[in-house]
Amino acid sequence: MIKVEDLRKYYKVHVREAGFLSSLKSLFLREFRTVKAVDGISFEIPEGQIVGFLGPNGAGKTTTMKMLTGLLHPTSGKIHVAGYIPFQQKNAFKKRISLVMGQKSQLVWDLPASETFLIHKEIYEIPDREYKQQLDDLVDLLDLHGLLEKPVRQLSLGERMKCELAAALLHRPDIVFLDEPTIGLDVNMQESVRRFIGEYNRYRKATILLTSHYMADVSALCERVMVINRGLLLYDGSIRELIARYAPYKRIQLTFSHEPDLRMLAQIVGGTDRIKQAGPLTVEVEVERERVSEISSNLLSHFPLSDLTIEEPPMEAVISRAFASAPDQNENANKEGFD
Amino acid sequence: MVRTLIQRTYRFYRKYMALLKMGWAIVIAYRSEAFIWMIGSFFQPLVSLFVWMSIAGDGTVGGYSTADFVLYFVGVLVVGRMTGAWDIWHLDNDIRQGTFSNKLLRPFHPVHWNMADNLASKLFWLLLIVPVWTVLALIFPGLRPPISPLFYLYTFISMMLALLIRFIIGYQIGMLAFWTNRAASIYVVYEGIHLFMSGRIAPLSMFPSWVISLAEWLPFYITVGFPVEMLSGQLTDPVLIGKYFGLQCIWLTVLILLFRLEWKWGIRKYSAVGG
Repeated sequence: MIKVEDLRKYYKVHVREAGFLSSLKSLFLREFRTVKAVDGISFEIPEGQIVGFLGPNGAGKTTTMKMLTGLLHPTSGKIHVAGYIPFQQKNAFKKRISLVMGQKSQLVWDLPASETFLIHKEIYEIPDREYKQQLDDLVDLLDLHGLLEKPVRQLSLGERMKCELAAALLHRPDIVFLDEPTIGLDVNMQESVRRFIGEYNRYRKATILLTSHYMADVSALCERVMVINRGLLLYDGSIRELIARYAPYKRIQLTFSHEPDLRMLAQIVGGTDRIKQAGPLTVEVEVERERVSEISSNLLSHFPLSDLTIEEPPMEAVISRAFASAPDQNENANKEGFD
Repeated sequence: MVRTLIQRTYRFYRKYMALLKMGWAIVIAYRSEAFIWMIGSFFQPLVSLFVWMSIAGDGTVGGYSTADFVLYFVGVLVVGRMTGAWDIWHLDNDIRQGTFSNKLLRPFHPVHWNMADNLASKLFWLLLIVPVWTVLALIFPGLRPPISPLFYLYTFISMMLALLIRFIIGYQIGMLAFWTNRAASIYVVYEGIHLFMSGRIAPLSMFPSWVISLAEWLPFYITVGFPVEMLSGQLTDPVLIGKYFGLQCIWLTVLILLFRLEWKWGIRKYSAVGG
């Protein structure tokens, strides 16, 4: 459904220094720097898959999304989305996709969301019956009751986001790009937006590419993740494997019923550096994935425990480890970019 | 072939109606602001009017008596507002903030959004000013245009063409935001020139002849002075009227062609640097 080959996007940025003198200087001597926002990535996404797109700020996620939707023209490389070349901006292509940016609203600010919906109905040429059906579905799935008649500016951030999603999906796009759809939302709202995205993927069989800072979004929705940093694809595969590769440890949280013998504990888990004391009676230990069950049964038989929980390390930690281990080849390339 | 054409026209019409309805809803939501803007736009024509009235006194200036000036500047007030374009402020903002991307992703040209907004607020203006002028004209004979019904039609048609011309020019200057962040200030300069050359500050016949011919051939006089002079009964020569209608059509065509070219280049620029 989506096919990307050796995609690149370089920007030429005018280097401006602060201050009056340097602004005078820049009138005569313009310095440019090439920023490699996306530097040769390739991937394919089959129909109906939800893919999580991860990376720190400025990694190239949004630039890639903009190229996939046709807003940006790639510097080089090939893109095919649903058989179209996005930057040709064909209307038939636009009717099949949707881009939701958590930070940019597409609803008309001063009017109720229902007005924007009616515009979309005409612009996307949605037949009356289909429109009614889809609107009813969306109102139910997103629980929009009573929100559509209020001016958008009076909605809360979460309510607005739900209306944004509905507006973006009225024309039943089968390819959906979600750029930080849960940004700034509270946990409940994140959860309901997340559930909705999963739901839409299932009943529309939509292909979805999703970026998020919240790992919960990604681990709840996506079987496959792509990790990008400095314009390079560092990882493309299942979440499980990502964790296995970059997080070979699991965390065991222990609560003792009376103070434990720390020396013995260290012996069982394999070293004092594995132990983090969280309180007088609670301790966190890191253990290798393969030894988790062996060590926990040992712990249970040697200590009077009131609680024992085994946790995956947080995704944030996994991702940052992935970034840290990536080769820094792009760093040099950037420096050579001065001209 | 014909059927698909009819179908496409019908769909286009429905899209426009939806956008117009939305534009109208925005005008109504902000009716008090719309009203205040409107009152604000009265000042320049009224100030010009009083200046010229005091200069003319009991005589005439450039063929205009005090009574002529009254009718002329009330005409300027109506036509100036009716043809004025302020979409540049939205467009400039949209492009620089990147909200333009939203409109670009939809399968309908973004220019129609602005056009529909523009038309909706013009409709609001027309619905206010026509009754007001009618009532005032019943009370003050000086406000009754000395023209035949046919000339009302001419005035209206030329006013609509002028509206399109000024809209496209405004949008074109707004599109300069693809290249520079000075689009808005360029527009302010353009508006300043327009104020003089279109006949808004004084009837064009008051100016030196070289200014007049410049203003006539470039899209200035035809955007305000032409409809106003027909409405106030100053312009009755059918040959001249035909010439100015012709110029309006030619300029509209040229501007539309230029618009397409600028759009194509602008979008290329926009998609190169990102919104």
